[in-house]
Amino acid sequence: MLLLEQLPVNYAPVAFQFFVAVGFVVVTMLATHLIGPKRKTSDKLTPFESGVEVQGNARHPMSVKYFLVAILFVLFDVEVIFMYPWAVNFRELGILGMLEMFTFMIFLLLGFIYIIKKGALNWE
Amino acid sequence: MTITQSLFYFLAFVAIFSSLLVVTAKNPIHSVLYLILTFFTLTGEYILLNAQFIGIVNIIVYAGAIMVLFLFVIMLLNLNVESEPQKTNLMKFIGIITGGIGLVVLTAALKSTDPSNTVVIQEVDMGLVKNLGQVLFKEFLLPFEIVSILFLSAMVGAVLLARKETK
Amino acid sequence: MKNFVEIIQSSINDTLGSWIYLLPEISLAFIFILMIIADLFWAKRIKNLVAIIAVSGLFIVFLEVIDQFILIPPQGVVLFSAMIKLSTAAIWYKVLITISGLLVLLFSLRDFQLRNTEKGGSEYYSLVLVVTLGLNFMVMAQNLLMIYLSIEFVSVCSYILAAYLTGNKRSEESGMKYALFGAVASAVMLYGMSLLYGFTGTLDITNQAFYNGLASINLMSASVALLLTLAGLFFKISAFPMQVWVPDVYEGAPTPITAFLSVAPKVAGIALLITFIRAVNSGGSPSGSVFLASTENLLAALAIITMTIGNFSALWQTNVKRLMAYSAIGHSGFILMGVAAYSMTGQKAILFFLFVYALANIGAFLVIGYFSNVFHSEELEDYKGMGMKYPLVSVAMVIFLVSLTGLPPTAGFVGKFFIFSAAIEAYMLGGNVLLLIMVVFGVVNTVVSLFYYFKIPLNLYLRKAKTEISLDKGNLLFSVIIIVLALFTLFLGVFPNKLIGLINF
Repeated sequence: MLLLEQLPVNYAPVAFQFFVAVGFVVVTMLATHLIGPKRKTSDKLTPFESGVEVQGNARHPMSVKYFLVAILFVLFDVEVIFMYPWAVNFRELGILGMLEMFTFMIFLLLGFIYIIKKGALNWE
Repeated sequence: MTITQSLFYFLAFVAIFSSLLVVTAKNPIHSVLYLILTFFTLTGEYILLNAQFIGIVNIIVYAGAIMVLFLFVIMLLNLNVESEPQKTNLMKFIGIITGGIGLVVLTAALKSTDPSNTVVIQEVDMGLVKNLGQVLFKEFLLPFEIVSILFLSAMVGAVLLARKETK
Repeated sequence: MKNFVEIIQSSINDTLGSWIYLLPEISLAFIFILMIIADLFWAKRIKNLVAIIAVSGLFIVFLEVIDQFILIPPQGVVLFSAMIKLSTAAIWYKVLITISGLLVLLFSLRDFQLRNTEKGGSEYYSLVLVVTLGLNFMVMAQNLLMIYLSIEFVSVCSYILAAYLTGNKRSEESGMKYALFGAVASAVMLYGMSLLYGFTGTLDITNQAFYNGLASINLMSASVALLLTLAGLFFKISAFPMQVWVPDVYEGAPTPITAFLSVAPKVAGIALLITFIRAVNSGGSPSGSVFLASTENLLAALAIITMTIGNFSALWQTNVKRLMAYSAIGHSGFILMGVAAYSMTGQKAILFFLFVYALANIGAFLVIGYFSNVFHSEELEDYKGMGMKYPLVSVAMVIFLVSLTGLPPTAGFVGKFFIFSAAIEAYMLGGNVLLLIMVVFGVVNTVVSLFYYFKIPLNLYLRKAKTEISLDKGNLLFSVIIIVLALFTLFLGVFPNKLIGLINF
């Protein structure tokens, strides 16, 4: 079986769509900026906080919890990446490939259980 | 110059320019945004090399997930105070000299390589997901399985270091 | 079509047949899983369960590694499509790594700081086992991908272990610095590897195409790529110019981890360096590799600089752990001498030296741990007058230090003697004057090291303690291990042939 030849040229439609999408955003933003009327008062320039007076500074150091969630997300994200090549070749790799993937998954499942049991995702 | 070549030069220029901006930008958030731009141009390069899989992975993992991590790290720091220590002029000077020497050596070394000697990719389709999978689960089986253990220990480590102990 | 089926069949057989040679590594992975499960589900009911599994598991792995000597043919086996090679030399390095892992685990059982950390010890023991697994792969790796992966494996776990005492500023700083320096080093190495792949088109460094590809291009381009790759290895063995992280990391990390970091990654890094140098230097025309002269010069120069920096900086240290860190840099220089000599005798000398170094260094750190359990300090000042109070341990410390200096009748003397003679032999054969200069520097550095090592016995015995405070009794387990290690150091000094006779590859 021959793979259909895939070359960068085939990505031209994707690139075209990408440019159209980006171009649309840029054009609309510029247009509203240029066409819209501007009345700058000190009240209008303050950040909008649902009508409440602005208090304090927005830049507070945040909890390390967010970071932990993000780092775990990255780990699982990278793990999922490995599944694409396996899924595409699922038939060719057969039962052996399945075993290989299962071994891989067992470790990550264990990691998941570890995270849950240790309460790493509990907020309080 | 073919269209591929001109695309390559364009992307390479943007990549270098934006990575310079990453270093020189005053605001760390801007640095992160320029870094994302760099990643996008690199993805473009990967696609030009017909390595689509790695291109997409670059977007998903680097521009997506890792950049979120970068932003979190910046948020963790206290940005209110101008606490970043300024380097003395001597340090800057030494930095420029060493960096410059490094640049000269690398450029000279790579320039002296005869381009006709470089390895030409044998198969055009090498970077496709399907072919990658064929190699990954046969030839590179051992590294693949080791990676899973590495992930597990990284998870253990991350949870260990970031968790607050409740006694 | 038939041919294709055969290829598939053979590749499957290759994969399946490879696993039996990985018994110790697979066991380590299983023990790791078991430890995590034990930690999650049964740790509350049975105290110290994880530690018990770790020690007994690693002991089983040790027996399995020993068993591999019989399993493999003399020329070694290449496994997993040339990802790794299990040779007799690799098994020896694995033995050494497993022994130091075991010692460090026993060390950690009774370490004051680790016992009192709020995190508990379970993750600690599992991480030590995982590092051992990574180090095992490091000594066997012969594929650039595998090299990078195993180094990164070891690094990631070491960063976590160095920062294990969360809440302790020193330990956190140590982990952070280690991670930052390590990231830079591995980025540099990765760049070098990508250049090597670009030049040669193969990841397998023992492949003939690897050498041919490098030899056919401009020497300067090849050297730059090789140098960048070697930088990552130099980071692991703390050789110049990648040694700056050592003092801070060693000082801040928990003492058992410092002991481990000063021995095990260095052993694996040296093994990998030898594999790499051998791959670059082998092949080519009968007249030898085009890189032979330049690698010899490079390694000799780095050996000289590394040991001089390490030993001279150690002279001014007042913290014992920091002093030992600089001494570890100095020892990297000595080992590099052996690598520069690049010969079969050189390799045996390195292995013997590493054995001796591991015994004495872990022993010395155990004594430091023993004392810090007793009076919670690692400052040289506080060692004053302790020699009389803890006579056995102090005598052992003196033996370790004498061995590290390289004086008879300890094993350190024999180790250094072998390294020097390998270097002189290489000089006789090749006539490279730099090798001779290297030996001269080695002798000078040995004398210099005497000055700072002597500071410890000086404080232990000849100076009076500042205050008379009643101190706890030392730990029995520590004393036993320390004395056993000291006896081994003396034994190998008197009968070095007992070990050298075993080493043949």
